[in-house]
Amino acid sequence: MLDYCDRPWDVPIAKVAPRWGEATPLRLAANAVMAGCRPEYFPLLMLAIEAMCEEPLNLYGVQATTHLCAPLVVVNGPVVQELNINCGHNAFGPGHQANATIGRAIRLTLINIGGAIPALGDMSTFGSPAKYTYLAAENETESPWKPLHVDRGLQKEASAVTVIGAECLHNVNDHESLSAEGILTTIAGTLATTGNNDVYYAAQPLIIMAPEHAKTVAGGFSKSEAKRFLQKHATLPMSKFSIENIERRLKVTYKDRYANAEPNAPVYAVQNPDDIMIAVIGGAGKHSAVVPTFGATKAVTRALKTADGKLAKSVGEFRKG
Amino acid sequence: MSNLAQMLSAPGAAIDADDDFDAINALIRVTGWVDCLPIVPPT
Repeated sequence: MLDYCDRPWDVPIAKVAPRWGEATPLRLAANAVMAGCRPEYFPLLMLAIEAMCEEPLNLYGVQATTHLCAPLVVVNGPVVQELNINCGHNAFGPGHQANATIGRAIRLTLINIGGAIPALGDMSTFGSPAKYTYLAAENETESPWKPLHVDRGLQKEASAVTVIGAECLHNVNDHESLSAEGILTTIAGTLATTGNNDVYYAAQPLIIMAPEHAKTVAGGFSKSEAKRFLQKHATLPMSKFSIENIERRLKVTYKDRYANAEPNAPVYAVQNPDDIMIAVIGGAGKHSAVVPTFGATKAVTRALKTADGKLAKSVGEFRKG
Repeated sequence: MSNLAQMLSAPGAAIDADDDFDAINALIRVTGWVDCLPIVPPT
């Protein structure tokens, strides 16, 4: 495993909350072996762990909360093809070693180094199947838009991970709409739900469109326009929320907006269009998915680089000898 | 330290277990270190 590591084996690359355990390459390699990773996956595992330990993600909260979130890793760039990471049919399901084992190695790292032991460091009320493995790639070749990592400021040529403190994906079935507005209206309805953490925070949910939906939406809208449409239409009337939630959450968090609002004033699922992320993932079928977040978390996107700071064109660049 | 053997001999860096797949998996489940699916023993 460590043949694909270009860093010192005993120098931590990150501290993993909530235990703040030191993630050295040696310890990560042990978890990668236990998970069944191939050695060439190791640079991507290191990158994902580094990214999720950056402050904006709030890994301490994501790990320790009673909420059921887990770090979702979306992979972009040449490494997707090189490591055969599934971005098509069943991208979040079984069937591909890279998705299954890199995601599992992340979870083992979060448990063994980060201390996310159920009911000790991980206090999730329900847990989630996403806490076994939660990694997929963007289907860039089927996407009509720029990929996610480019939206988030990286070069298209980069291999990258975007880490999101997220719930499992919620499916959006729309076999009938033939327009961008139609599909986005259906997605907006799934996005706006009571009891969703994103309603309570300035959150960054991920909208996943399978290629068929994406192509229809792209026929009418740019990605920025789609985000604006979703932010505007993903609302619920305030009357759908309990009196206690209105008084103790909405009127406290968004005092200026709701202090004197009418009972049916719109409550926005997302505060700013730019907070919405869109990625194209999946195979054939007229489906999208909404990925709500922990709320108190910001997505982190990082490029795969060698120890000297240069963009890695291939995981082979990490191989010794 | 850059030598793997030295690293693994440091206190707490390694555990000894019987050279047996089932025994190692039983041991590691008891410790609570894993997701309770079988693991590939790291050596």
